[in-house]
Amino acid sequence: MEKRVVFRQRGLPYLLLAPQLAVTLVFFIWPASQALWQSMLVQDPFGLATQFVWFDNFRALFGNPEYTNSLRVTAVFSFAVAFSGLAIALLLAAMADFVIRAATFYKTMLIWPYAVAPAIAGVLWLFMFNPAIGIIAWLLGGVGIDWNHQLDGGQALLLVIIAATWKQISYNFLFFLAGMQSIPRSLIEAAAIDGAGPVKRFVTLIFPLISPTTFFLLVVNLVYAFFDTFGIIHAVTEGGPAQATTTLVYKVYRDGFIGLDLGGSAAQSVILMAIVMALTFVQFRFIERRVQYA
Amino acid sequence: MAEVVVESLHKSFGAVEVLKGIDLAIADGEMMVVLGPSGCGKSTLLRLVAGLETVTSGEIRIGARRVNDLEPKDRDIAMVFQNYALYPHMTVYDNMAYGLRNRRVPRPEIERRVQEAARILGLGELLRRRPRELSGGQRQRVAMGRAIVREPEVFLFDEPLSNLDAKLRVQMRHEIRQLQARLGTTGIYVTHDQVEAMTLGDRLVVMNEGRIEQVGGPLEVYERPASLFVAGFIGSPPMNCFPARLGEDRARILLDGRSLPLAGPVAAEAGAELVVGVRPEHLEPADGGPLVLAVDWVEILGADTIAHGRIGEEVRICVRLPGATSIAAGDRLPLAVPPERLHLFDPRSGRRIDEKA
Repeated sequence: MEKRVVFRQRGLPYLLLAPQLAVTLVFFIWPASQALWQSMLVQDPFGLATQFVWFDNFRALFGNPEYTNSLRVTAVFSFAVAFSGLAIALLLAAMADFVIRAATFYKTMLIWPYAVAPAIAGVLWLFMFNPAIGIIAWLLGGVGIDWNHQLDGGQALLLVIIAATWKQISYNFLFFLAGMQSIPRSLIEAAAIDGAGPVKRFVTLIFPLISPTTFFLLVVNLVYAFFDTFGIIHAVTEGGPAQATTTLVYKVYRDGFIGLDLGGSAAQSVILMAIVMALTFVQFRFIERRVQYA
Repeated sequence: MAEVVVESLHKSFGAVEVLKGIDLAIADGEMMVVLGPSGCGKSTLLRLVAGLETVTSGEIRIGARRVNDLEPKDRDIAMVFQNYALYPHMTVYDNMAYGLRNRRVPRPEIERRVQEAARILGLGELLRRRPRELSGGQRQRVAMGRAIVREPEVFLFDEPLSNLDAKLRVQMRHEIRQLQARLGTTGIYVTHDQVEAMTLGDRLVVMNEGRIEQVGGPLEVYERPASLFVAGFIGSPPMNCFPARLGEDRARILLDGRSLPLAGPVAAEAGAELVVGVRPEHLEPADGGPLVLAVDWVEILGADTIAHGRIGEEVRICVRLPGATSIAAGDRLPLAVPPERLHLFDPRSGRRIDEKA
């Protein structure tokens, strides 16, 4: 049954939609179209001469090994952040849902990291892993691991993955926990009587029933890993060493605002936009089918 | 098949004692209905038998086994929940098969049992559907089916009909009764609905504030309520109760200067204060009857009529008369009671006072 509101005046619905449309136009459609336009221009650093070059910027990017490296880094980084962020949060939520004593304390503690600003989260991890004075670097040294993310690209990537994941776990945890707590208690009890132990209950009952939450979080986490991790990377590694942690969004910033290659930077953001749109499309098209909307 | 025995069972949630010593023996194949107002501990009793709560003290045995410390899945019970608790993401078939798969029952055997249950419950067409595509009555049947495919020792019912409309409830009541009798499985059925209790149970347990008030067959509980609480809880409209005094010969009661004969002398002091109970349906209009009802309110229900009013100055009672009568507010209606229909209770303990042995 569909409910329809009929407006007598033709103008009123448009008037009511206008604020939202204006926001979308001014802050999304217009900048996006500007980026699209700019991606086909070449400009000198002082903005004095501009030339229209069709797709030369894109061609240059894909011929550049630094850019293809950045694509690879982004793929590894985003998948690792989204996957480990979801997996750890799911585990923590399942455990927080299971405990009874001091449950509120654990929940509060687990939610706190979300209140930390990205740059501060980055600095926090930077201190702990600092090769010279960091406590974790010192402990790792004790077990024979020579930690120096300022020199080792793999370690640097691992560090930003850890920092970005840690930051996102709280958010995921909150949603997972809410999802689990909305499952009626009697369902769990029925499954317990039906002979399913805690692990079996999680696999056959709880996980399928929170699949809408999981799907939502997957979309949000990938977008987070692609865009919102700029602050952490900027604070921890500045994309280095040797571009080992330069994700697409960081490279957009570097090339555009430091390198002042506005055309090339715009071309990169257009590609980034296309990637995220494609990913979101794929998720809705193929993964959502497996979601149980009960 | 098994008997269920509960011995001096206590359950506390924090400082609140919910069950204060329950002793109960349910025979093999018997349907025992646990009846009581909300908060009396009846659901807690059922959940303790199921293993969904831990026992504070006392013992629960199913068959010969002490089950206090067994997990729900090891107790060989099946439970039907008030909200059905069907798995929303599974088909009707999978809902019923879930418990069997968890127990590694072979596939052909699962198929056989589910088909059999579907046939008994008339669910054959619905096996591929999801719970949300079913009506309330159908969901109720699936919940029943999930219990019977397990072929457990004991069925536990937690107010399974309270979410259904009145007509469906009568039908499902009948089906549950038939099914349980046919399978011969011991059943414990918790409800707050006395009609359900009277029609479903081989025996009833009436509970109040964590204690058992009476255990007995439905008619026994109706005809010889063991306490004032049971007297007031069973029967609709409830039993009329009013204070009186026992006569010198202990075989009559005195009420406002009038005297009502009893069936025989009773086990109480002559002249003792009593509470007299008489059911509305046992009061009969009789010319020159000892009780005169000043009618002030009449409910005509078609099949019968309920007249409310006063006897003397303070005692309010009601009378149930068969059919539609011409009694109206303001009438004075003389009533008589057969002596064997009078119930006497001790006003302090609330317990029934019986005839002298």
